Amino acid sequence: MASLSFVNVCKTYKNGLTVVKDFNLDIKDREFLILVGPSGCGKSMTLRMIAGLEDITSGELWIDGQLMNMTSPQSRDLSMVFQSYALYPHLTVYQNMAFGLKVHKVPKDEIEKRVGRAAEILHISHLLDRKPSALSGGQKQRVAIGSVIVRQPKAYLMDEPLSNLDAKLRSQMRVELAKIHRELGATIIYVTHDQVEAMTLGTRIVVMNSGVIQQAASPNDIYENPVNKFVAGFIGSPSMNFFPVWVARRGEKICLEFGKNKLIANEICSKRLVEDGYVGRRVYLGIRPEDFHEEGPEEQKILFDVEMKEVLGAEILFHGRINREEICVRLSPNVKAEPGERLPVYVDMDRIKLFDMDTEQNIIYV
Amino acid sequence: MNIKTFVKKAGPYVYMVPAMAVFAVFLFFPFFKTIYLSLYKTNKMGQAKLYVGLLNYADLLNSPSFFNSLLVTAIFVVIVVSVSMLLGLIAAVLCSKTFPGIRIFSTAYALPMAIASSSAAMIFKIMLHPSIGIVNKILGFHINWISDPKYALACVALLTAWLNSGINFLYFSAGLSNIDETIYERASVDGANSIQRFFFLTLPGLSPIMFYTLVVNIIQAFQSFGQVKVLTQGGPGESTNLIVYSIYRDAFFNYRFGSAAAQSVLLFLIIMILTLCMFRLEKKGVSY
Repeated sequence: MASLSFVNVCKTYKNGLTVVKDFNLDIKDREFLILVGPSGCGKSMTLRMIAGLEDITSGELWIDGQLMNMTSPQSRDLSMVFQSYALYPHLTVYQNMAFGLKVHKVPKDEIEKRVGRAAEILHISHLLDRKPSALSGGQKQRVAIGSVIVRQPKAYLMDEPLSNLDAKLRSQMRVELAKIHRELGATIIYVTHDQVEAMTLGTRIVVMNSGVIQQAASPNDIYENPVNKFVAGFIGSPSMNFFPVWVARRGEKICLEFGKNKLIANEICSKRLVEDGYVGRRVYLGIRPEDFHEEGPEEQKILFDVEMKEVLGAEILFHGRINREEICVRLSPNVKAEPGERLPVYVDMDRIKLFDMDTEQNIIYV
Repeated sequence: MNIKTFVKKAGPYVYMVPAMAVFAVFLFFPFFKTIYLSLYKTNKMGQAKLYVGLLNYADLLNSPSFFNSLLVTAIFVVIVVSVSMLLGLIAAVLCSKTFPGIRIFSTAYALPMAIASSSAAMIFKIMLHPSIGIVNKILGFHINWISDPKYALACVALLTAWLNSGINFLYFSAGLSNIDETIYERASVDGANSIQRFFFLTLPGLSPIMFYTLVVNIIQAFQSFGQVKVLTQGGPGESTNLIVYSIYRDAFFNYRFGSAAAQSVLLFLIIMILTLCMFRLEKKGVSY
């Protein structure tokens, strides 16, 4: 297993387009690192640079204390799951899984043992004699994962490995991957855009946007303490609601006002807003859908017009508007409200986030 | 049966008439005429005069010259097919990478298919000339390539292989572009070096197109004529007397159309049996 280190890594195409900018990150041994971000943010490119499939334009990539910039992919001793499966079409499932071991000249009985075990974990033992063309998307993806876990490389690279599985299989595979990580003690670098995967699997999440690391922290930290508006909006599903609000002093209290709604900031927020000179200015107020409640004190009440509701069984998502801003509220199924009605909800003021209007940085980031 | 159902049933056949007419005139008629002629002794105009049954075939099977033709043809086919496929494959693999000037190389490798075999043979004749030829000049030899029975067949075969390599290059290039690039990426991350990638991925990936190319090349090699006609006329002795050239000589020099027709029929049978065998083998050897 290995530790990785990025030092000022950049990737620029010949046409001048920079897809990864000044990437600095240390990945510890046995870490399960998740790279998340919107499409085209450079997360897959970063993974491919680690694998050696893309040249690094500038900067350094170190694996286990060795500079890897000029090392060919086959000499890096890594293993990668591709989003498009990348199964060898002329080989059976068994041969596909054994390929990496075969080229490393692992003895035949050892290959058999490892492939058998991986096939059991992934529930594909009955498919070992089939060719990839006779497999479904989900089965192909499991074979791709199997081909990777049979080896014991320095690090596993996974590019959206669960993206084509159905919901049930995906949650099963999540558990299996977490188990594999624990059992093998492996360093895993995992690219995804699935929030649940990122939050449940990762020991650390790196949120990227436009080729730049926005925040690298534990899943809980990323969720509770996002560094900026982008991270706050990207992590969490449904995503955080943002409202431009006025910060105003009303007597002793600091109020956040938007439209006819007026929320009283708690002590910590008030202190930070006053100290940083935000009184009398506009900021973004961020509230997660689950931080609204059906009941609460009057000064935390806001009213919104319900436009649509999604009944999810254990909860209901209400979509609507406050002034012109869209809002999504997650409430218990007891709440009876129909589209067209005006619904009062109460904001948990201890959990709100505030962001600077210009820099979009989290004002109460700790 | 009313008219409507008749039209409905006959319709598809009517559509096939133009194509079948062309086949009938240029393929079926000559084919059956050849079988017919092979059973007769003919006059100098190629008209069937005397029915002899299988006598033409019996004569052929007792003729050492015919067996020599078969042997020469077999050697020729083996050299042509193996060398031309190898050349095409190497060129295609080289051109599958992108680098500046790739189009110039691609065009150069594909060019032989645009050259008529007889004109290529003319050029080779000059290149292989014992006193003024560039080959002897470069190699410093004084070999009479075309007039020496040791070298003549190899020269004709290599010329044909080079001519065929152009179309093979195209076939293999198409085959290579069909192989998914990501499996190479995966293999390289898995630790496979370029030689392993070639033997474990490229060759099996090319196997369907390789089979097709093999069949076409064998048939083509059996039917080579122009280069022999220009370069060696079957000589020296009978060292380059390929079956097709032997057929031509029998028919248009010796006016033995019956014997030539019988040779044609045997050539047809040989090619057909070979092709059937290859299709049998395809099921075992071709991946996917």
